[in-house]
Amino acid sequence: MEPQDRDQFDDLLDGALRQYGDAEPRPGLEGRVLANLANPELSASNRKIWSWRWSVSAGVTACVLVAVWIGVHASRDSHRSQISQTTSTRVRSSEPVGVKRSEPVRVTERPPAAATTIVPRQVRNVPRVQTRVAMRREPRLPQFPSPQPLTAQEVMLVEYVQQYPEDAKLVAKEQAEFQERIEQAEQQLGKGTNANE
Amino acid sequence: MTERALAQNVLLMTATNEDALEADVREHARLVYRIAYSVSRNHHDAEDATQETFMRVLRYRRKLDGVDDPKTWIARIAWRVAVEQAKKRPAVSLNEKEIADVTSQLYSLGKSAEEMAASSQMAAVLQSLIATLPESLRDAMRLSTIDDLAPAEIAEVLGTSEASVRSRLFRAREVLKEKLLALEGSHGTAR
Repeated sequence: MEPQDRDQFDDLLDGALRQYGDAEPRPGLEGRVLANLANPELSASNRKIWSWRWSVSAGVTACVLVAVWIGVHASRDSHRSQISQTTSTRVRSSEPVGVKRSEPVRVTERPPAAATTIVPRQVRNVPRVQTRVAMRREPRLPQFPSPQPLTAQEVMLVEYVQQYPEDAKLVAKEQAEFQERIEQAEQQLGKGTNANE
Repeated sequence: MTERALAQNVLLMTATNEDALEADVREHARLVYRIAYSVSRNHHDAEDATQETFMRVLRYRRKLDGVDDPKTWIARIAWRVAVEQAKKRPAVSLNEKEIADVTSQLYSLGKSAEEMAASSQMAAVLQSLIATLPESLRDAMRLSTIDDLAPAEIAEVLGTSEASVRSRLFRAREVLKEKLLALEGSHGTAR
C-alpha cells in the first residue's frame, strides 16, 4: 500500500466520520424537552393524589375485610358453641372454677402493676359470653356443620374478589402478614408472662 | 425567620432550580441529541433518548449542585440512556454482502474521496463498519465523531483515562481504514 493511498483513505475516513457525527435535531428540540419536563411535574402531583386515594381505598377495604373476617370467626364460634351449648353454660354458671378463672386469683398475689395487664383479657371475654348467650336462642340444626347462606358481608367480599382479584390478593396478603405479626407478638407476650411466672 | 420569608426563600430556590434546569436544557440538548444519535442512528430514538436524559437530570438534579462539570455529567447520563435504548432497539446496519455491494457502487461511480465521504451510502457503510468494531473501540469512535466532545470529556463519559481514549481512537481508525482498504482493493482505487 502506498503512502498516497493511505492519505486518501485518511481523508475519506475523516470526511465520513465528520458526516457521521453531524446530526441535527428537528427544530424546537429544547422547547419539546422543556414541555416534557413540565408535564411530569403535573403528573407527579396527580400521582400523589392517586396514591393518596389508593391508600385510603386500600385502608377502607382492609377494614371491611377485617370486619368480614371477624364476622366469619364469630359464626364459627357460634357453631362450636352449639355443640356444648347447654352443658357448658350450665357448668360455668354453677361452677365458676376453671383454668382461666384461676388466673385472676394468681394476679391478686402479684403486685398491682402486673394486675393491670390482665384487664384486657377479662374485657375480651365479654363479647364471647354475649355471643354464646345469643347462640342459645338459635334452634339446633340436624346437620353439622350446618349449611348457612352467605352473610351480607361475605357476599360483598365475594363480589369484591370477583371484581378486583389482584387488589383482593394484595389485601389478603397484607392481612395475613398483619395477623402473623399479631400472633408472633402474642406468642412473645405469652413467653414473657411465662418467664415472669 | 418568619413563615412568609421562609416561603419566599422556598419559592426563590424552586425558581432558581427551574431556571438552572432550563439553562441546562438550552445549553446541552443538542449535545445530548448527538450522543444519542451516534448510538441509535435514528432521529426518533435520539429524541426519545434526549427526553429521557433530561428526565433523569430532573430526577437527580440535587446531585448536579455537587458536580464540577455539568456538561460531562449530562453527557454521561445521555450515553447511558442511549446505550440502554440501543440494547432494546439495536441500530440497523448492513451485512457484509450489502457493504460490499454499496462500496462497489460507490467506487464504480468514480467519485472523489470528498464526494464519497459526503454520500449517504458511505455513511451507511461507515455505520456498519463501526458497528463491527470491538465495544471499547466502537464507543470511543462514536463519541469522537461528536464535535462538542474533547478526548478528556469522552474519557469522563466512558470512565477511563484520556490516554486510553486516544489509544482506542487510533486503533479504531486503523481498523476502519484497513476495512475500507480491503473493500476498495476488490473494486479498484479511490480517487
